[in-house]
Amino acid sequence: MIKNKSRREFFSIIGFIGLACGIAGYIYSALRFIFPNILYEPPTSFRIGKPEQYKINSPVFIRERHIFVFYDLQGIYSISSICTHLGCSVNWKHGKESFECPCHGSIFDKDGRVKKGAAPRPLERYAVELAADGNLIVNTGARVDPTYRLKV
Amino acid sequence: MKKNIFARIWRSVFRHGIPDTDMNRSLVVTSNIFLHLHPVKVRKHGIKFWYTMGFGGTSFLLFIILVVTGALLMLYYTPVPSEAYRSMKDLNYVVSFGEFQRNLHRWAAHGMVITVFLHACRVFYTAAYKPPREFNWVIGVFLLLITLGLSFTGYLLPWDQLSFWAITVGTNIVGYAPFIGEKLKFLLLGGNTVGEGALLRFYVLHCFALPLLISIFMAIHFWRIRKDGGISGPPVEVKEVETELHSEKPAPEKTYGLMALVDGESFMVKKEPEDTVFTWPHLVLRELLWAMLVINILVLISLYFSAPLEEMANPYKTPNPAKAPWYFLGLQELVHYSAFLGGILVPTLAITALIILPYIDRNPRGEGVWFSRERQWIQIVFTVCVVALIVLTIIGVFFRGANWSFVVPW
Repeated sequence: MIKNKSRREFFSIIGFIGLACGIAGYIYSALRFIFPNILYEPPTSFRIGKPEQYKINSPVFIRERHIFVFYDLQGIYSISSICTHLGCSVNWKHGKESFECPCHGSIFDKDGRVKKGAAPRPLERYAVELAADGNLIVNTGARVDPTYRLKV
Repeated sequence: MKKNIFARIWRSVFRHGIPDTDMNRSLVVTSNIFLHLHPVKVRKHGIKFWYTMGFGGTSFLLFIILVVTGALLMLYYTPVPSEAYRSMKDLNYVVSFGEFQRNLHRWAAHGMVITVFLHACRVFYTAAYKPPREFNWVIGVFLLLITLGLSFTGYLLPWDQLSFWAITVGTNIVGYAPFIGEKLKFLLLGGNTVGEGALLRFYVLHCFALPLLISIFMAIHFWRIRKDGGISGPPVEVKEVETELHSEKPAPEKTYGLMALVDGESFMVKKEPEDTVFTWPHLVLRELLWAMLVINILVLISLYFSAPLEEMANPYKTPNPAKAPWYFLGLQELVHYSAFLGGILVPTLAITALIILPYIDRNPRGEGVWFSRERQWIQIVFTVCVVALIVLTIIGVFFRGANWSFVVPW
């Protein structure tokens, strides 16, 4: 009788754990579900035309890609226009040779380094490569250090 | 015969007679699912307008208005970036009373943020969170946070420049949270930027998840008010009356009905007998009048003031300045100095302090009285925090211009 009772308890506990595992599994699936696997966001790698299109010392803003393209004597580089503080779009000030963020007044120099304000990091700099067909390719997935330039 | 049928139908709905006797005044409350939220009798002190100023009840009323106007707006709103802004234009220019319903929704939402905040202040200054009501204060803190969440998620839905950039700034603040910030931001946006995934998620949160959550918390909040002895007030006065004790046993704390006749005292013995009045009509009528007044004021405001709608969201052009919703501008003002300070540190400390407040304030005195002199220190600390919040918010709203530089609004 006692043995029977303990067997019943044992199977009750096993059964209870089994059901709880099923529910835990469902909860995991629900949590995983809310993290998307595919994003329909713009591609991180794209063409921005040929080097000849860019003039020395006159930065070009490609707004749909959120980047500035610079061409100076050392080469070509691209800087993100998204402020590292809170994601606003910075504006290039020609006379001052600096980027200014409209949201909280952060100011960055020509190389994207923070000159003033609450921004914690320099503006992101993305890798620029020359494709076989002569087009420049920017890869916003590949971040490079603030001295990076593509020699052309 | 005919009269008899009507009487039977009436009787099947309402089990009591016209509430002109104390018996029926009790039944009208206990036999009605909505009214039984209230006790049959309430303390006179608790229904004085200047004690509560009706902030909690007004918050609930505004929530009901938001549910009704929100459900109406959903009939014309499509939560897709290409369609959302067009829906707003339709509401404003094509749908009959569309702009009016939207205004009502907007102003009721702002109003609810204000009344929930004022309700919290009232509860603090009257020390209404003292035992046994500590946990209901904690529930109240969560209700405040969910209210802000509801308002914030609704802010994105018009998909104009105002909403797009407020949400961009707001969700980037989330990204500053240590360890989980980036993951949380990704989860909230359903991606890396404010786009169609974010709009749909905010829509689901705003129209389904958060209303459900706040309803559950409100149910707990209201239920606990009853369980913790109704609305707070100063301790019931003890009358010095000479009575002969029948036994040494302590008096029963509550009596629900006449089950049996036993020796002993009821809990009201020695206490002021005329302290309470019947909920029906004294409280119910006041609530009805107040609700009608609030609705009418809201209607008037919505007829004269329109909810803002700027140009369509443009992810490539940040307006200057870009401001978060006004109730977050105090935080944005801090964020302007340091994103971690304003985005994470101060809000986390503030919320933690609010939650543990009833447990660290062990001073048992001052309950049920505004600005009791017996709890001066804690009132000074709280007031300094509230004033700081208000001052920062006013600076953020009125004194910040292009590039977040200091401007004078006149």
